Amino acid sequence: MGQIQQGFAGIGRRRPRRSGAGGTLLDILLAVFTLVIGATLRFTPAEVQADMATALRASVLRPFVAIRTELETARHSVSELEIHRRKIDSLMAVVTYSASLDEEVESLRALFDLGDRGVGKFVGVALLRTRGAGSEGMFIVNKGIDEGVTPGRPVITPDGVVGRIVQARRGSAVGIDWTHADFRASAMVESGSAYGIVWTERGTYREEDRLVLDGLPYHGDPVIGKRVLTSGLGSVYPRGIPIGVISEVRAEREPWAKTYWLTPAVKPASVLYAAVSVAGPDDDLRSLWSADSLDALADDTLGAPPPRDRTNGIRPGGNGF
Amino acid sequence: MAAADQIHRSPAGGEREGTVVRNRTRLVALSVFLVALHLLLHVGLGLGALAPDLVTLAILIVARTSPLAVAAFAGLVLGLLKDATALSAFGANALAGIVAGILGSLCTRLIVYSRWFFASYLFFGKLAVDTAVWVAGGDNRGSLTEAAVAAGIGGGYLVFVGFFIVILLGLTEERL
Repeated sequence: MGQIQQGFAGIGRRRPRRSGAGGTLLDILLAVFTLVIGATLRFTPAEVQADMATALRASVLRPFVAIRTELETARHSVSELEIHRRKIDSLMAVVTYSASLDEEVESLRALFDLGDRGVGKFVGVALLRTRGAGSEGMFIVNKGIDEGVTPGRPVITPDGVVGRIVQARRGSAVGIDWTHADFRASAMVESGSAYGIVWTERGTYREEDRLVLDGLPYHGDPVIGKRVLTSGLGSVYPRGIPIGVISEVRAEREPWAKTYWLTPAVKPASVLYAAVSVAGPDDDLRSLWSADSLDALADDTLGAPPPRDRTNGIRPGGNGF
Repeated sequence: MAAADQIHRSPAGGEREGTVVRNRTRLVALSVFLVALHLLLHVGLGLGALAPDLVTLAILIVARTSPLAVAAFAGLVLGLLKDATALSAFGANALAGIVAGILGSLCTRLIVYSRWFFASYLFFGKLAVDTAVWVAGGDNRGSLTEAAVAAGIGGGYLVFVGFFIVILLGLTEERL
């Protein structure tokens, strides 16, 4: 208490005016000029804004970003050491098993004059979130245009869609996840019987953000509990990446269409590492998510107990990254 | 320190001018420390809302002790640093910083000082900054309700941290 009294000693009387306080004309003009600069910065073209932000991140903020990257890497290494060990064991089995199989497949494809399957083109990236106001639903990735990470590329995990890249520079890029207001994905029910658009409905609080599947036919087949995959339309997400599972009807526009709530396949906040797909939008990635892993996704997201230990993830026919 | 004080004093200015220069140096050092701590907590450690908004605190402290133009310019520079970490709506924090700097510089010349004023100044300063960021924010901004709740909590947090720093550093009106 004594310290508080000391800290506020002298408080209670009017502050003496400093020289030039209250604003000389020059002072006021300079302040207004600064305000104009601020307003101009806000409404500068997005490309210029991105360049400035990147320059600041690469200079003043660089040590802090480096600290964060190191910390996240260390945290991830410690927390998932056992998982990585088990994945390596599984991969060893896969590699041993698939070495001879690959040769057979290659020769068979050559016999039938089939081309490359065109899947599995990914760049592994680490995701960094700044968590400040205005950066909700956004993240920085540690790879840039030199590695093929360009705007529009989808960001995915073994569980499904995280989001997409929106800005890319040399050495880094910025992406949005599905909680961002700009997220849209052309989607289909797994069977391919119905197509729609997936977007995010913002809640009052960010925790209430939910995925919505819009535009399914009103008199279509029942779809509750069905998995939703990217359809490959729209030239952003390749076909066949899981987005989520249809959980309930959100609204009906009788007699035209229904919209549904989706239980997302991926919880973006927990994603530290992901892959940026550099496959073309015409490629079909469904084979990367085998039927049993999609079943597990549906069971997990609908609340049923997991049928198996999914941390052991990678296996023949499973998602291959 | 005494030697440094002598250097700062102009032959004609005397004790008062030397004190002003020392106080400005102290103010700049405090602001740089707050900004570095903010970046460490928010960017380096990724604490998000768990860490106080020390950049806003720095802007408000600079604003109450600086001329209008200096306060506005400090708001611009420090706001830009926040913008670089915000990933969207670039310029919103800079604009909010300038507004807070100008308002802070103006209101500290009009109101009698007390600890309640100091608390209100920090609380409403933070509220003004967050409101300006929300208004200038793009499509990715959250709901008004969420922003208001976050600004209220953030304002209270800033008052707590501001008082803590005042007590810790034994700052007084004269020394600030």
